[in-house]
Amino acid sequence: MRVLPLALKSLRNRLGTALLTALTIALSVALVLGVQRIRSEARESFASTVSGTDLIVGARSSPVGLLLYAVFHLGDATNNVSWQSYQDIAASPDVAWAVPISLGDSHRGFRVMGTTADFFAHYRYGARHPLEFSAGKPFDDVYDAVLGAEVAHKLGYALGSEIVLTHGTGRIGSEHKDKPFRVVGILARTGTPVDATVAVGLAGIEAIHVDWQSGAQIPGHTVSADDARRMDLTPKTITAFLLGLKSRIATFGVQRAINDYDAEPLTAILPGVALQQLWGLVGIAENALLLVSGLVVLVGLAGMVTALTTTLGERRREMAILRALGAPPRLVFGLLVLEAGLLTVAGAAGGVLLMYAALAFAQGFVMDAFGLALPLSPPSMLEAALLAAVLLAGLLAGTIPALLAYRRALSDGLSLRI
Amino acid sequence: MLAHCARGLLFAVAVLCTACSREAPPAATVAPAKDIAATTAPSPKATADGAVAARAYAQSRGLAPTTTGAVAPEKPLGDDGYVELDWLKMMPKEDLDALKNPAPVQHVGRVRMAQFGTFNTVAEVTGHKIKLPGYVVPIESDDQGRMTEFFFVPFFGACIHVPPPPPNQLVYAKLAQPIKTPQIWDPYWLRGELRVETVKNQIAGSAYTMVDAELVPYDG
Amino acid sequence: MSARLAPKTDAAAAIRLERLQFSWRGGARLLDIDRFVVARGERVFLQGASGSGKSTLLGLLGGVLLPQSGCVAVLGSDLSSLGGAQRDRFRADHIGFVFQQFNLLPFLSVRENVLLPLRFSARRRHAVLRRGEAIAEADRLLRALDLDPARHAHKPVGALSVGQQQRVAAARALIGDPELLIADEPTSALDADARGAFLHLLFDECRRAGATVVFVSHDRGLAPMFDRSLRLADINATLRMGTN
Repeated sequence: MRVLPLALKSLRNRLGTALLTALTIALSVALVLGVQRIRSEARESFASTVSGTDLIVGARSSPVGLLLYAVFHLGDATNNVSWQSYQDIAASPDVAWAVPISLGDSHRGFRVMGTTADFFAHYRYGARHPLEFSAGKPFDDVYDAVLGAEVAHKLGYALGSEIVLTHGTGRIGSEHKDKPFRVVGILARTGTPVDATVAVGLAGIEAIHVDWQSGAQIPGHTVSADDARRMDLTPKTITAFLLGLKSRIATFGVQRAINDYDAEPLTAILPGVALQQLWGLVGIAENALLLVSGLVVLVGLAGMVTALTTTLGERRREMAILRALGAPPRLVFGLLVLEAGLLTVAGAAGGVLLMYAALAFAQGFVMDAFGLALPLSPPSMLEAALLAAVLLAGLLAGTIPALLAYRRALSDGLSLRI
Repeated sequence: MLAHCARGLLFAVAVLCTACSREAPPAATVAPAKDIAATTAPSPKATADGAVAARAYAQSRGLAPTTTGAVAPEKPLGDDGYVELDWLKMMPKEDLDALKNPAPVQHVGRVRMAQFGTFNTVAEVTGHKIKLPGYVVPIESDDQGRMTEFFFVPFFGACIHVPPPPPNQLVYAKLAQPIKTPQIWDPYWLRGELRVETVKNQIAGSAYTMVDAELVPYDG
Repeated sequence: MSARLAPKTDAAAAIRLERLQFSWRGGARLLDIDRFVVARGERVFLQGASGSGKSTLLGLLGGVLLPQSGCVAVLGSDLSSLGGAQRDRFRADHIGFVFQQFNLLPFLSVRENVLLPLRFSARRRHAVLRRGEAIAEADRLLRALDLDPARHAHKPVGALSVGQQQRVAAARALIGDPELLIADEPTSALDADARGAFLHLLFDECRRAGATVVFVSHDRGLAPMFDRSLRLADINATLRMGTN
């Protein structure tokens, strides 16, 4: 292969320009790969968040909204579900199990979820994986708490640590200082929003709000932690609940019955369907994003074409020398296409590295902020196809300066015109 | 000049979004036979469980929840070796007769119809290769978020005034290989062998399932 | 266009031009040469002013350009009967060029530049390998032209003086024993001392290889060193008649 060493040495001779060109391409490739990866990881992660739950029920709202706040802890509920309605539906003969959920508090940025011990028995994710404890056990006492893996890791908690819950879901707010909770269990990592959740008993949620009026604790009318323990801590409302049915076939019937429930406006969703509706909404933005990142790659390649074409003038002498040595004009063509190809390969490789570097850097932050896992897995088929497409585009782009050089080589002959 | 370009760009983006947006198809035309009257006047307790109402209906008509014979499939073998099956053939004759006196669908007010239907199945449609046209309702996925189990239903997105499909008008299917979750608003062919399985609930009943199901996009 | 080589018209002549006519596209006739013959091994000095068509003549001799009419026979092969690819191959196999300046590829080292023709000509590659290693031959040529390979072989081209660059160009033109060396003002960029030294070294090596030399320059002072010297105007009818 006569041309390859020439192309390599030629690029090395103009290393500054070559590196800059490759860097431009690398950045655009990293962008398009990153967008694609986040997109597919987000889908995978979202789709495998909850499993084995037939219906999710909450106050009447849009299915996507209910899914987002009940499972992903994104956004807030518009209304609550009364305890009577929950008990009524949970007692229905078709229901195998029911797990209530109460949201509205947080701890240092992580959501607090009030629930029953049944949550740990019935919540599944991915291919029906159950929740596992890396330490401790489910809560028992009113003021017991179980931490998700990320919460324990990020905040450095262990069994026996004492935590104070904050009212509201913002990062700061009024704290329930007089009623601290004790960590009795830490869950193993799941790659779902459960990792970023602090789970406490429903009674615990009731206890910390027992002396709160309209969102504030009135001094002089407080109830101590021990006193609260002795009160009746049955909740009056919850935010949502998960249902498992005895027979899956009954799903539609139960869903319709809940949606028609006279006593209270409720919505029951099939998690799989709501997820698909979510993707439908997001799909438009995703397509737009992919389109833009594709255009960015084209811009990067256009930069390469410009860089190669502008050097053609000063390389005319080189081409004349090669012609004098007996190189056919197609060698001149091939040399430039090969240079473009090498730059694109270098750019693509650099882009892949850049993407992984950015992924490694942003992994922790994305997990904290969105509960989304971004593993450093090898490139997928689609990503490999994208890289191949970039390479092809680079070679095609290289034919533009190559053709120019080819025609000049033919017409210049051996003249010394510089 | 700049404003003109900006307007053009906005227009292009709007066209792009419209073209890309997935519009759910209009409510699939439901076969007239499926319009059903509410079985009982809705009271808080009864409406809390539509399936119980359905079973109550079956009992009131004296229908034993066993498989019954029905018309065998007539459509010829398709070129892919699967016989196209009509959803209605999956309902026993008694259910079809019961549907012959439907109440008109009222598209006003809160009156919605509870799920009607029985847990009765038809033996003839099981045991051989069939294909059904319909829509996918995903239920379970694997660790990578690919679908492994789903419901297959005859229609999608029907208005809230019409009940959901009865238990013998849907198939609970499991896939041999997980697949990328299909769109819930795209029609598909479900191919495979129907089976009947006992349903674990209060009254012994049965429903259609399919293992090793195959999904093929619907091409008309 | 016939793919075969034209039958050898005169095996003894290195160059044979007959009734050659050339003009650039749309321009006036530049070259009108009735007869010009160079014998093998002869060293010919061709004097011409700039713009007199000497570069064009060299292009015709090298097979880069084709005449409108007439015969260009180099080493017995009629170049006008060969296709473009064949002419390229012919040039690679049989002709070495030295230009006035910027002879070398800036991204290759000195030794790589000297070895460059071997990439394009199998014939010259074999000629070298029959004698030994290619690198050894390149070093021998550099030494013959008074360049120490140990010091210069790996240097980038830009690190050499103009005189040194011209000598490297000569080594490159001569590697693999091409039969014809065509030089276009090779000493015009050199000072007087360097000029003489360069020519002596060049002729020594050409004599050893038995190469024919066609040397074009405007400097009459060099003429005595050659076997034959003539002016372009002597052979180019358009110059004689003043029609350029």
